[in-house]
Formats: sequence, structure tokens, C-alpha cells
Amino acid sequence: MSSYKTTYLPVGGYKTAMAGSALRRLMTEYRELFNNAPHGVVAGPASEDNFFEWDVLIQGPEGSPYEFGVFPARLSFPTDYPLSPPKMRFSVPLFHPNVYTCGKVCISILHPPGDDPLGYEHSSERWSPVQSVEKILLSVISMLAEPNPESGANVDACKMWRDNRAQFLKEADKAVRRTLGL
Amino acid sequence: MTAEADPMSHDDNVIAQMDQISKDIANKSPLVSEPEPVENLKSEYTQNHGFLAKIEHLTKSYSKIRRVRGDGNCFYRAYAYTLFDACKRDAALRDRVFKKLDTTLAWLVQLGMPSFTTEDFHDTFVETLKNHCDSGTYDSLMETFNNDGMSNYLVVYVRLLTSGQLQQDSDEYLPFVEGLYKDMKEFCDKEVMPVDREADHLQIKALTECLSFPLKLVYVDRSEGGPTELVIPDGSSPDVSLLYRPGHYDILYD
Repeated sequence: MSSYKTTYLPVGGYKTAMAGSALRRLMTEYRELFNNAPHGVVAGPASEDNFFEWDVLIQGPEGSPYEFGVFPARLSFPTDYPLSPPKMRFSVPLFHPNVYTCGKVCISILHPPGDDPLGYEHSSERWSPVQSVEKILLSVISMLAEPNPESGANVDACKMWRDNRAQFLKEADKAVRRTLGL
Repeated sequence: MTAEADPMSHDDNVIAQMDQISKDIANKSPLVSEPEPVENLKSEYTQNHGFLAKIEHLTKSYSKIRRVRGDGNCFYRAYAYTLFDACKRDAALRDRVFKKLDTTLAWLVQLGMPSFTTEDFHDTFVETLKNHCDSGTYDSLMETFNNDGMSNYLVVYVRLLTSGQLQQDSDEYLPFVEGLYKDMKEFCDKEVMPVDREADHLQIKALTECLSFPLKLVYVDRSEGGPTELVIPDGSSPDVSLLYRPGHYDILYD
């Protein structure tokens, strides 16, 4: 438990005091994911020097509009992880109701704890420290398989998903082809 | 796909502001403070006679208050702190608590908590409590509870125990929240496990029952008369007292 030796520092030290437990937890999660990754996902630290930034590759789920695509994303962990969730951002354009145009993923498990200032979903699973990277990745896979236009991040994609499914499937297919370099 | 249509900048501003508020609170008060005279509370309520009268009463039975940071974890942190402190001094309590903790990991996993993350919190809690009972001092206890990472790990574990007890005794607790939540699991996911959700009577009862470590709650609010005292669970004889002011818990000493 030597990583917990940092003493309380009221100003400035607020972040460093927490990073020890976050790092330990992230290393455990990485080991766990390395041995038991969910189907269709690869994830791990972007570099050996920084366990707080992970690269992720997610395969579009079978039978979904994103089938055959392979989508790269970045997970950024806060220093107080796992008390707060990481942020996730796709590194390629992904036309999806729950992904902002900048690539940021918006699903309930990634929302910070407590009352949701954004007024999104109330029935879905929220972040808590017993959740894990694996749970997040599984939620992202199910988000790709089943978009949720009720808590939209990309309004155009929400509307198209609801009103013009054929056009939506074409847009999704474009995203898939782009990831494959076609 | 214009910048205006993307609501993220607004959302991020809201989140950034909330972050700033919690940091301001964090910078102002330690997670667990040194004790101070109960009289000090009076200065917070100079305009409020209901409160002042109650605090006057309070000073007759209690001499010191130990403040706990108001970050939504205050009940759980105060409870864990008093538990650690009491286990060090009371061998019978210590044996009882460790005997219970031997069973809680398997129990939580059986109730559906994810095993590998739960194990991390369980092991940290048990190891830290053991270390404190074996060789801890007052200073090391204060250090443990004022180290954000460690202190919050301990808080998460007592939240897990609370969650477990509520789900195990769902028949008893569900009627109090029925209609608001579809089952006890949903209640726990939303009201117990998120790290800044405050504890209410249900959570307090569940946690004190789980660890068989009862407590006395002393309510102080603006109503007439002296403070209201409540022993949880009913009929137990607690050694520790927490002060409750609407929305916040601190530790009281005789």
C-alpha cells in the first residue's frame, strides 16, 4: 500500500493524492482486459508512460448499421478514477445519435456521478466505482447496435434514425467504409 | 453539423462549473477535521433562534464535534471513521466486524456486484482496517481518512455493503421507495453507489445492520424544542453519535 502514502494537501495536491489509487486500478483493469477482452474490442494504454490515456478499437457489432467497421477511439481517465468515469471520444467521424460530431460518446455509464446536469437518461445504468472499462466497452458496443435517440448527442443523426432509416443506414455505411479505407 | 448545433460546449460548461464548486469545497475543508468545541456551531446560526436553542441543548450532552467534508459522502465517511476508531479500542467489536468482513466479498458477488472491482474495494478496506487495528495511531488514521484516494476507497466499500444489505433485505426496504424505483437494485444503482449521493434513513439502517455497528443520530434543525435523538437500528445501544443537520452529518463526542 505504499502508493497511499501521499499526505493530504489541501491546495494543488488535490489531484496528485488520488492518482496512486487510480493508477493501481487501471493497471489491474488492463491486465484483466488483456486476458478477457469482450468480443470485438481491443483496448490498452496508448503508451507505457501514461496509463491515463487508452487507445481502443471497436468492431461494429454483427447485424448493426456499423457491421464490418473498425472504429478507433480514445479513453481519457481522470486522476480520481474510478470515482469519476473516463471520457471517450471516437477518433474518426461516426454518424450516430449518441456520439457528438466531435466524436465524444454520450451514454449514461460515462456520465459523472450523481445528479445528471444534462438531464439525459434516467433509467439506464450510471457510473459508479464498481463499474469498469469492460462495462463501458460493452455499453458502447450495445450503443452501436441500438442507438438511443431519446438522449441524443447528434440531433441530425437522431432525426434521421427516426424519420429516414434508409438514409441513416447509408450514412452509417459511409462511416464503416471510411474506417476500412474504402 | 454546425458548432451551434452541438450542445456539448454548454454541457461541458455545466460540468466544469460543478467541478469547480466541488474543488472549492475541497480546498476549504479537510475530509475529516480535528475535533472542535460544539459551541463553535453557534457562530454559524447567529440569526436562527431555533438552531441556537438546539445547539445550546447539544452542548449539555456533547463537548466536541469533528467535521466531515460536505461532499455527499459525509455520512459514509463519518461512519467508516468511527468504525475504524472503535475497532481499534474494542476487541469484541473488532472480532465481530472482521468475522462479518470475511463473508462480505462472496456475499456481494453473489448479489450481483462485479467481482473484480468489488474485490479491489473489499481488500483495500479489510487490509486498511487490519493495519489500523494492528499498528495504527490517531495520526495515521487521520492521514488515511484525509488521503482522497484511500478515504474514498473506504467510502465506496461501505456504500457497497449498504447496497448489499438493502438488496438482501429488499422485502423490508422496498415498500419505502416503491413507485419511485422499480426494484432495490435500481435504488442502489442510483442512490447508493454513485459517489456523491447522500445517505438517508434507509441507507443508514442498512449499513448499521450489515456491520452490527449501531449509531445514535442527533437531529438539529430549526424546529422548536431540544435536539431529537434517534438510535439506529431500533433498540440497540450505540457508542457513537453523529450530528445531523439537514443535508449533512458530522461526528459528535461526549
